Amino acid sequence: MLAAVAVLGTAIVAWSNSNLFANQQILNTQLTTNVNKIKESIVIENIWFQTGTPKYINITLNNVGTIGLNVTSIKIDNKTDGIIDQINQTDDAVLPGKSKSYKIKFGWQPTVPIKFFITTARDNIFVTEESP
Amino acid sequence: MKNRKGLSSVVGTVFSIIALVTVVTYVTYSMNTLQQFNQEVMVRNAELIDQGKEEFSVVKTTIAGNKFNITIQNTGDLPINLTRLWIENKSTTNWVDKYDINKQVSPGAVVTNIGQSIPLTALSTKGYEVKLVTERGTFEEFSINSPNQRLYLQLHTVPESVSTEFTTTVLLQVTNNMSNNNILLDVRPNTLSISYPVCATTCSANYVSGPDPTSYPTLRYGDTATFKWIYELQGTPDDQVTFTASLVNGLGTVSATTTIREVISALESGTSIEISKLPPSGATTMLFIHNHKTANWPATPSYLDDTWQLSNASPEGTGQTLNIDENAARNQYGYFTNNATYSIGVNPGYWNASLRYYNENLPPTVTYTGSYQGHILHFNRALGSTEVSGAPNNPIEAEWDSSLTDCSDEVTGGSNMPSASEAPTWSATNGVNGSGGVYFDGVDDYYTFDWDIDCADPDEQGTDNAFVAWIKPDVQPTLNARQYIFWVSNSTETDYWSVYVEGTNGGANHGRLTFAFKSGLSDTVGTCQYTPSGGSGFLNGKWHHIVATKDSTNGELYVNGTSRATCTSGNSEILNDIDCGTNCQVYFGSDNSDALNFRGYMDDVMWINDYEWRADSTSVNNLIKPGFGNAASVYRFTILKTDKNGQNPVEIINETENLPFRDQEDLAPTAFWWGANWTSTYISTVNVQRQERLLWTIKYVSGVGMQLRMDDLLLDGVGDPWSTYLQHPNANATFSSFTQHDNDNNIEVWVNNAGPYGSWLVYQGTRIIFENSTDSQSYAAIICAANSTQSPLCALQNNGEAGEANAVTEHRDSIFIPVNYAVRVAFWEIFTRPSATTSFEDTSGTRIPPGYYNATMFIDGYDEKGQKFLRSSSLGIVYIIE
Repeated sequence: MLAAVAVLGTAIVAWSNSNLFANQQILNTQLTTNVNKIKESIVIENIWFQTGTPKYINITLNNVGTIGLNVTSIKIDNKTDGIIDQINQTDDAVLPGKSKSYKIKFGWQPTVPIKFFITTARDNIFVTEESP
Repeated sequence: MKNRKGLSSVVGTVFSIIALVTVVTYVTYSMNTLQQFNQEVMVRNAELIDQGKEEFSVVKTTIAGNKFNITIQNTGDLPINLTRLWIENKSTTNWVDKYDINKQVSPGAVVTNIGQSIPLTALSTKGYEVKLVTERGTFEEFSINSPNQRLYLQLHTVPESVSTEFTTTVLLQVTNNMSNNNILLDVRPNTLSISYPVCATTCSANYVSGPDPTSYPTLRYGDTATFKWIYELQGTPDDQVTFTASLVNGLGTVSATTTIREVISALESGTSIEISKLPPSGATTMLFIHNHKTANWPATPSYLDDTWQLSNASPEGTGQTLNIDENAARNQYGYFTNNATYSIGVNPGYWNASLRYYNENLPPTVTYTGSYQGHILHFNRALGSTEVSGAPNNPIEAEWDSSLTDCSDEVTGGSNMPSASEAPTWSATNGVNGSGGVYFDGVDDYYTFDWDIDCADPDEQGTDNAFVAWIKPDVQPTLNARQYIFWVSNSTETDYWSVYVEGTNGGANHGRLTFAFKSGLSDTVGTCQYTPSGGSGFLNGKWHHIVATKDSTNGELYVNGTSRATCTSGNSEILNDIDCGTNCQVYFGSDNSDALNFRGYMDDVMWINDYEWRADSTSVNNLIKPGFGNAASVYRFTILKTDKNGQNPVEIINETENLPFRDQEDLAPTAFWWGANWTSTYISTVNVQRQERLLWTIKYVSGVGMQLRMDDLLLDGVGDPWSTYLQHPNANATFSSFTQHDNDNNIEVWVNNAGPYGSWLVYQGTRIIFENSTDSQSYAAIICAANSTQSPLCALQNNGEAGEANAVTEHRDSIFIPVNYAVRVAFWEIFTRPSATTSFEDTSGTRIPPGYYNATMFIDGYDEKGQKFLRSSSLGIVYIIE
């Protein structure tokens, strides 16, 4: 009986320890992911509609958060043709406090407002609207 | 064995404690994790709140030493850190650049010299868009001499017509209406561009001064800046000078034109005198319709039914009402200005007609042959409300054609109307096509009235009659009863008409419409029934137009203009009508027991007496079209230029317009408060040359007819509404007023002092001249009085002097004419040899004979600044009658 209790007890303790440790790891990862996501913050500091042929849009964003981030895509929606232009970036890193500019070829029209969606690797989407 | 058992318990307990401690440790760890996450969320929220609280404003911006000098103030509660300055050059060389500035600003503090240290050469001739950004991402944007959107620009010349070698003031008004609330800094106008669209020989606009001021340092959203130039113009009469203004680095231009006018003699005074045969309207852009059409007038052009006078003067008559749709062939009325003796340029813009009218109750295309009036209820006001005119209101009381036998006494419902709680709910816009309508609650709402049997029975001797209505029953999927829309019967209910919708709780015939009638005790009931497809029948929450009509024994039911059912009743009675005996009662929204009540909206209900309606789908369809709502009538509006005879029209505007229904029952008999506006699309500059006329036409297209009120002096002078008029954008001169004169009388002319100084007229040189364009003989008359109170206007005293207090003689000047006041200037009769006598004493000249003359008034006077003026002004073509 003693042996049975010892074996059973050891098995239960080992199982609970490993199970709880695994959950702790998951919790830890989730916390880190969510906290990092919250800490991520971008300000779209300036949008310049460049004239000429072809036309360009220069977007400058500033990482005002406390951690670095990676821009994965910039979507442009001018609401007139129902088509959203998407420009994918290869995890373009922006350090905290630093800014980054993107020059995008886009046939903007005067006075037609355009929506910008900037997506980061942590799946945050920052949106702004600007009219040329 | 016993000892081992105890040891096993101890070992088991130890394991349990280990497991418990592990769990507690895990729970504690989880809670700590959660707390850590919460703290991060709170920190982030605090950051967002701080970002929202951050505020600063640009106090001032200048360019000093080719460097920007921007002053900002922290107007928020938190310290801010200005990190970046973005500058975009909006001039021809388009570029943008950013500069790190890193300026800490405490709450309330002001920081200057921002931009002084950046490596940029700023030029006052260039336009810049500037953006200041804080560390938290807040930014403030403004423009320096560079509106990046088209601003609201207005350009005026004052006066709009001047004599040669006189000056005109050019005023440019710039309003900051930028959509992003941008501040504009250092707003400067460009040098004015000058052109001469009309120039007979040599023209010039000589710069005197301006712009004043040269720039506006700051123009916030909604603010207006005004710049002033003065130019001296030279040229010959009718020459035109166009000024075009724009902003430095701005978008768009704006223009204004000044015309050079003829002056016979030297003009020293700046006082502006306006002369017309009719009283001034006070608004030079208003052209009222006047009640003149028989004189001074070309024959009505072939494409018009009738023509009337259009003048910038105020209404002068007691009013006339035109039935625009009365002539089925053309239905087109025209309104002419007088033919101009000088060219008139109307600025680009929107033309607007203010129409004073009421509608007829039926379209002219609805045919009828009966002799009794029907009834129509438009529900354009609530039960018990007061009409605009102040007359008491009864929504049941309405009859439509005064030429028919008056059966208005049929409707004596006032005393039998339901109580307020049982009255349907009226709303101004929930009727059909956005008009007024009533809602019956399906519980106890109804209208009722007694039928006056002295006039005619409701279905007089089986003649054709019809019940017409727009209905919108509520969606009622579980209704299991009848809901009556209309009921009329005698007191014994042996004779009746009824229209109702049935509910069968979603079963067969749910939502079926029924028209049932019976003409006597032993008669059989005629029943016309129709159920639209779709399951809910009429109980579908949509508007339906229904007509229940009957001749002697045959009934017919129309829905939305289509005949859907016919039926026949037994005809044992001699007279197939509703024999009222001593009484008949009519109900809307319920049966005569007030138990089976209709639930839904109802509008434009009609009872049509004695009409040829049965099987007349054309009339039914014509009745549906207007809808009596916001598009009850369709009219075509045109504005044309014609020659002096009203021929050879050139189109300027040609548009159709839907006009809202205006219920004549809302009017007192003499009131014309109802109306609506027609506004054109944007029209470019219109030039009306000498001898040309402006013609405004209104043509009936479809719907109910319009009774248009014109030349109603009673409507004028009491604010809005005015009598019907056409309003055009600003013009460089006014259109001539209508002038007709009886040669036996003293002619009287309105003289308006438009300022800037009060003035007097003198006898010595004030005359009115009539030039005969067909022979060499012309005529004239001498001034006799200003604001004469005599009849006739000019009379003599025994000593030969003009005999009244307001007389103007060689010994007496006119009364004082203050600025913006008008006086009536009277003249002696018009002769070949003008004299200050009455006609019977005159033997030395010939009285002006009937005909058309080109009239000019010559004024001699002086103003309160001691300046003398001599001026001639054209009155246009005057028609002299005997």
